[in-house]
Amino acid sequence: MKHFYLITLLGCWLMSCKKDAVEVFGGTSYVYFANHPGDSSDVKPIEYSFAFHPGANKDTIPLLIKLIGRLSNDDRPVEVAVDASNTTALSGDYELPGPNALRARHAWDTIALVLHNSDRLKTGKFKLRLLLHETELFRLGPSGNRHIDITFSDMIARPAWWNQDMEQLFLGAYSDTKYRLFIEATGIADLTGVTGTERRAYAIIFRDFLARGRENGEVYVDENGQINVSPNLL
Amino acid sequence: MKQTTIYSLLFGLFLLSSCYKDKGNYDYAELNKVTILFDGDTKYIRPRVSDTLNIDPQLVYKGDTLRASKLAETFAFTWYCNNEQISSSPVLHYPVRSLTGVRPYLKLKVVNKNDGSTFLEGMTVEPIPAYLTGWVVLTKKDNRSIISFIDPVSFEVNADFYATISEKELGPNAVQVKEIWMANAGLSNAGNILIVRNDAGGNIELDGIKLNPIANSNNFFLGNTLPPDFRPRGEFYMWDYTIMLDDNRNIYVRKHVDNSLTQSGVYPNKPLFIPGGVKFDQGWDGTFLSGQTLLYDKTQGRLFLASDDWGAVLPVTYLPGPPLPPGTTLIHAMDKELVYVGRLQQGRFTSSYYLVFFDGTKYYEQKIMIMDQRFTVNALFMGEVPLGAGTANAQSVFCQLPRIDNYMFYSGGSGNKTLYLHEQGPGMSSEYFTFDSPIKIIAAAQNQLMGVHTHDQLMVALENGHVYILGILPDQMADPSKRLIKKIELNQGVPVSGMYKMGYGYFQM
Repeated sequence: MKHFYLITLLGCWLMSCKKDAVEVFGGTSYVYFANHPGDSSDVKPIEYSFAFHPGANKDTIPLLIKLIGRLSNDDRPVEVAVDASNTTALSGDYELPGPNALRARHAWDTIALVLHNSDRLKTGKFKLRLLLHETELFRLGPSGNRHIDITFSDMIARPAWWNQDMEQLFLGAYSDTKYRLFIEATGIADLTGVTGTERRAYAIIFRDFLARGRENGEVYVDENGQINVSPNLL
Repeated sequence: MKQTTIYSLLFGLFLLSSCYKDKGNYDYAELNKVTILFDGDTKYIRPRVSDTLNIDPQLVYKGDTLRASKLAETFAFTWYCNNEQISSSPVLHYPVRSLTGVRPYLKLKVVNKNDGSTFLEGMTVEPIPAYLTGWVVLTKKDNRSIISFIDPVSFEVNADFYATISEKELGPNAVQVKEIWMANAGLSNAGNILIVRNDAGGNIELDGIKLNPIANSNNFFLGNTLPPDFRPRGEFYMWDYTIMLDDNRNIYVRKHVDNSLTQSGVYPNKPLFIPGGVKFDQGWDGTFLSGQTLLYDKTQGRLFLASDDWGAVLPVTYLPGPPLPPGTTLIHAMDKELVYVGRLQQGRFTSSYYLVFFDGTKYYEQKIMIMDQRFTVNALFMGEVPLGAGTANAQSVFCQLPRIDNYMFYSGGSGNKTLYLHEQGPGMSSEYFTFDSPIKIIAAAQNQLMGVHTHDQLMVALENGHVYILGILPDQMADPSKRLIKKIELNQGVPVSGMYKMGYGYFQM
């Protein structure tokens, strides 16, 4: 009899663990920011630099939103707002052209965020926090996915892959100017995980880019002097 | 005490008995040892896979040396391949193809029927793969590129083998076949076949033993991204670098990560920059697996050398010296079209070439020696003379024998049906053979004759689809009646390119 009371008590206690904040297949729909369509973990902040997109005055960042609930036959507007207290970007640095909506028969969709480049971004990083707001059509999803931070700039920094080997064998001494030119020449900014032979090929493309430019009268200099690849690039 | 003495005596007796010297008399029957000798007293043989072994060994027996075929009454013979019995005949007739294993061990057991004495001898068989060496002909018929293999001994034809083996089509735009090798440890491998296709499909590499496709060069561009509007025009393999030439006159230089493999490393997907607006129209292999590939900018009339030294592409300039004779075609400012480069394959960074120029009516031949000096490439001018005056025509094709400086063959005459031999020494041409159809390609074989690698045969492929194998050894050159070795009615369309596949990498060094 004593055990019966104990089991009953434990059962009641465990019933209190039931999570009822989000009703998955009920009539209520929830919307939240996500990293990928198949990823429901907390949304990660986005880092963006115009330095990796040479020549771009503006760029569009697609922000992924996901649905918990039933699909609808109609487009459903999603309310997105700027959290001014957590935003350092100016209003001219970005725009949300809309329409911000979850389209009909879609379980996930994207909201377009347009970032504008300016000289200001060359010297500092700016943050924008976007919040989802609850509406008649949508309640908010998991708490870690109700807002997203976007930090953007036009700044560049020495990447980890531009290590000593990269410097000695392929690209030579690092400078921000050289890195920007490298991205312009190759169209690639991240050589993480790239094989040695591929690094060499990118370095050759960069070498030829400098030579071609110089033949056309371009001047490539940085704080180290003339910009060149490593003399060991064979 | 008495017992002790007895025991001591018995012990002493046993001890002394061990000193007994055996003076026994044994009668042994005298056995006659048999020594088995294979022809050439060899421990291994290298027949072709298509051959049938016919081995009649010699037995040294009672002081005589006799063939096994004469001793069938005295001995019983058993042949084994890797310990599996394959024959009980004194003479082994056995197809090489039926031997088991990669390097089958062939063993002969000889048993004397009179006394049962048994003798063994064996040797290793290293079969030469069927497609290791032979003629390869690329033709075009009904808008299909067709590649065929001709056995160099039996002249048996394996026509259209790409379609048969790969069950795919080459497409209509294959323009060249050549043999390519791996360097370093790869030199002991058979050369593979490279098919250059002038279309977006890319070049195809075939295994040199099985002839099956093993690689497509389109898969070796950076990020698996082809340059825009990319169609290969040529691909050139050197020791450490490979060069791709495309229809947009661009080149792409790849460094091998592992030079014992033909395909390793990636081509940048942007063209190599050559200052001065240089673009290339054509390229020629220099010394295979060497540091030299010659590239020709037709627009600027300039000759360049793509070097295995750093993968650099540098202009070829004459060495400073006395003025060149008036009228010389300048390799840095050609006033005639460069139509053919005959390599002499002399060395890795220095080698001589015959450059054949055409001014629209006449041919000229200039001999230069190119020296790759790492930061500069110089040419030693050795002379320029008219070539094939009165015999060569606008359709002429050329074939300079590598290494054997004296001989260049070219087509000409009425309807381009005559093969001429041009002897570089005396500078004279003579008719070598006349055919019933225009000559489209000429290729030379390189074989090992009496331990020396030399050129012994020529393949001439005609517009009517027939292929002729001609002898070019001294006695065949001296006597026209000996020149024709074989006429092959290939009938696979119009020849586009051809070569002799010479086999292992070290053969071509």
